[in-house]
Order: sequence, then structure tokens, then C-alpha cells
Amino acid sequence: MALISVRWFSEVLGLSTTATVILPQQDNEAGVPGAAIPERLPTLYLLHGLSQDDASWTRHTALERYVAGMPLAVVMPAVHRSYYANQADGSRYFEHLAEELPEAMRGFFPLSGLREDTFVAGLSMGGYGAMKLALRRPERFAAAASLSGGLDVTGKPNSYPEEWRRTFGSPSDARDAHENVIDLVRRADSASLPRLWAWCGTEDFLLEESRTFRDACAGAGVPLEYSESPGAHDWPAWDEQIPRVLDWLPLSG
Amino acid sequence: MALLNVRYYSSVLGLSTTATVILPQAASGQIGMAGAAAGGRLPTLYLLHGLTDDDSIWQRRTSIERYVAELPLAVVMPTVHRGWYTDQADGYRYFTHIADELPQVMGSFFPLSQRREDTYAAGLSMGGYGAFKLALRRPERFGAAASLSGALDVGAEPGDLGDDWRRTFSTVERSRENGDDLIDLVHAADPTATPRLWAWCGTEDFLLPHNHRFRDAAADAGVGMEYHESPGTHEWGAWDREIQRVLAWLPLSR
Repeated sequence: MALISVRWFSEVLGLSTTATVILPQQDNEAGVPGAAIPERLPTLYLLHGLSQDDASWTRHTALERYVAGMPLAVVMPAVHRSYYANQADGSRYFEHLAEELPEAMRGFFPLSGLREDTFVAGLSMGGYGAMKLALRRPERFAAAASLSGGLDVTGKPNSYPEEWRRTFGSPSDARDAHENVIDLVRRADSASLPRLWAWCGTEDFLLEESRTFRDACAGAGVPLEYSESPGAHDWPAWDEQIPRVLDWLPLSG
Repeated sequence: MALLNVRYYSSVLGLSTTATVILPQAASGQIGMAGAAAGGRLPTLYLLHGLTDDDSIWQRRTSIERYVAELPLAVVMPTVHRGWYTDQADGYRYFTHIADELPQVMGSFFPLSQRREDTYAAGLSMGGYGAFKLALRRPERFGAAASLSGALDVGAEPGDLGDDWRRTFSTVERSRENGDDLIDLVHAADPTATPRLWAWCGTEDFLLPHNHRFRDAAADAGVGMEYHESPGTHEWGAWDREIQRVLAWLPLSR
């Protein structure tokens, strides 16, 4: 595998920013399999949680080992504490994530632009981000997964009041701006959606949010592969679950 | 520009290793910039470090990223540690890695042109030696090569480098047999097939005699070369200045 740290400039954010990318290699070092490399790589956009960055997944899990041998690129951006949202103060993190990031990364690396090759997943704030991206850009993603997702963050303005207000404005603003993922799923055309997957640990303080999302999907007739198991809101849980996500991705061959 | 740190595996070396890469970044609405999505392929400069340096050194000691900012050029900076860009007698196959494996691996990660006229090598000191060796041993793959304060005559004073030298080159005779002696290579070169060559050395640099000998050998062999010297020693201020002249000299279509 190659592990690549990309320092690049985001015009949308007006910031120099960093992304971490994993690319497969034919031959690998001892202990990890190589991969036959397609000309255009299927790509997983893997999103971090609140307080984390683009290096968090690789620092705290064995992600690189899990993807070794898969014909898959993994792109991990950094979005600070933005909830992958176009902020009330003007920073357009959703646009950065949904439009600018894939375009820039396809300019650097041989990534496929096809829907069937494009996936998104994340933990906590990133689980919310992954579902939001899937529901707002269903034509661009074949699959989306949430691990311990903050899926009802827009229904919880008191969870971290000052920041919440700067990010989402008000609950009605959030709904109007398509930030409310529970609302999005209720209104979705289920036939057009990517495949959806969600897991949450039973000791996780965000468990109710995953259940709310699960119930919203059931009510709307939106298929969702949902599971819970013993686990908290922590890295051992995400290290354990991310291989299940990778296994589930609809990769051909 | 984007600055990338690439940790990758070299099966030639049997090592995990690192390269630093600079890529142009297409600004939205900016036409004419090559990118993988557009199917464009980038001219590429393989920029080589000196003895005691690594892949990060050019970026840390000079403003290389700023100098290439307006150019449609990728810069690939590998590391060979103390490997002399040579398949070492007792060590690693750094020449094979740099000449053959690196372009192939980097070409699989990034939208690099594989055309000769788009592929260049340059380096300082040990890297100047490396750049000229790439040009003389892979003339069909490189369009141009530049040496800054290059250690261009490794056969001259093997004693200077001691054990390192023997572990890398073995003997002067073996270095010639193995294609590691640049003076020898330039004498044997086909002047019509040689990449464009450019060299600079400071007049106070201890490697000045190396540069004179190579310059003279190239002239004897009828191999075209642009040669410059000016006041300067073996130091990064000089290389920060001279790399800009190298970039201006590269046969890039701009």
C-alpha cells in the first residue's frame, strides 16, 4: 500500500488543508497482500469525527492493513469541527466535501468517477456526514455507511449550543438547508438511494440517534442494513467495525 | 500546488520508503492544467538529493514549490539515503529503483507523462551524479538532465568516501564495468541520442575538478552540454538559486 499525505489548497474554504490517501500497490511489504490495480480506482471517502483530522483513521485503527489486497483507494479529508456543513458563518464545508474534494483528488490520483465505484463512510460526526452526502448526492454514491453516527445532530441544538448555532443556525434553518438527515431520509426517493449501512455500540451515548435514523428509514421504506453490538463511542469499536464496512462495500471482484 | 508525502513499498529495495511529490493543482475554471480526470499527463522532474539528505530536503532548504507553482510540471523527490543512485555492491539496488521502479510506481499513483520529452532529472552533489547517470544509462527515457555541484567523477578519489565507497562501487574497475563511472559513460555515449545536459558548479566547491573532468570528457566525446560556473561553494543558498535556472532551462512547453 502507499500512504500519502496531501497538502493542498481549498479555494472553497480559502485554506491550505490536508488529506490522507491510501492507494493500493501490486506488491507490498511483508505481511500484507498486494492487489491487482484497475486503471480507475474504486474510492471510499472515509470521514472523521468531531475533534479529529485526516490522519485519525490511520493512526487509531489498522485501516491500511484492512484495505491491503483490495482494489480500492481511500480518501480521508480534514474538516475540523464543521459537521460537513455549509456554515452559518460562510465556510462551505459541504461544498468542499461534496464537490471540491472529489474533483481535486481525481486530479491527483487515478480515481474512478463512476457512481458504482464511489462510496462514503464515517464515524460519529463523519457518520452523519456520510449519510448526508449519500442522501443529498444519491446519483454519485453506490454505498454509504455510518459508524456511531451523530445522525440526529440537527435535532439536538443543546448538545453543544454555541457551536451548534454557528453551524446550523436553527432547527428550521437546518431542515431548509438539507442538513437534517432524519428529514432527508423521510423525503427520499428510496429507489434512487445508495445502499445504506449503520452500526452503533449499545454503550454509546449516541445510540438513540442511530435508532431514530433506523426507524425513519423503516417508516419511509428505505432499505438500511442496521446492526448494534456491545461497544462504546471509541476507537476499539471503530477498528472492529470498519472491516465489516469494507466487506459490505459493493466492490466488483 | 499540492505537496504530497508518499510512503510506498519498493519491491526492488525490499523496503518501505518515502518520496515527496509536488503536483500542480487545477484551480476551478482554470483551463490547460493537466489532471487525471481530464486525461492530461504531466511533465515530470525527478529531483535528487545529496549524500546525507533525504526526500524532504529540497522542499525544506529551498522554495522549490514556489518556483514550480506556475509550471505544468510534477516534481518527484525520492530518497536513496547514502545509496549513490547505484546498484550497490553491498547494499541496495538504488539505480534500478530510481531508474525503473520509481517512474513506474509514481506513474501508477499520479498522472505523469511517460514521454521522453516530458521526463527530466536533476540533483545536487550525489544527486547530480545520479541525474547524469540516469541520462547516460536511460537516454531513451529522459529528455534532459541537470547537475548542481555534481560528484561527477566517482572513480577519481575513492579514498575520500572510504568504506561507503567500497560498499557501493566495489572497485574503480567494477564501477566502470557496472556503468557507474560517468566519465566512462560519456565517452561511450552516442552523442545523437544523449539527453540535453546542463551543469553548474561553484568555483570554490571541492567538486570543481570533478565538474571540469566531466565537462572535458563530454567535449571530447562530442556530447553537447551546457556548463556554467560562478562564485559559490557546496551549499544550499547556491542550489536554491541555481535550481531556478535549471527550471527555466528545462524544455517544457509553456
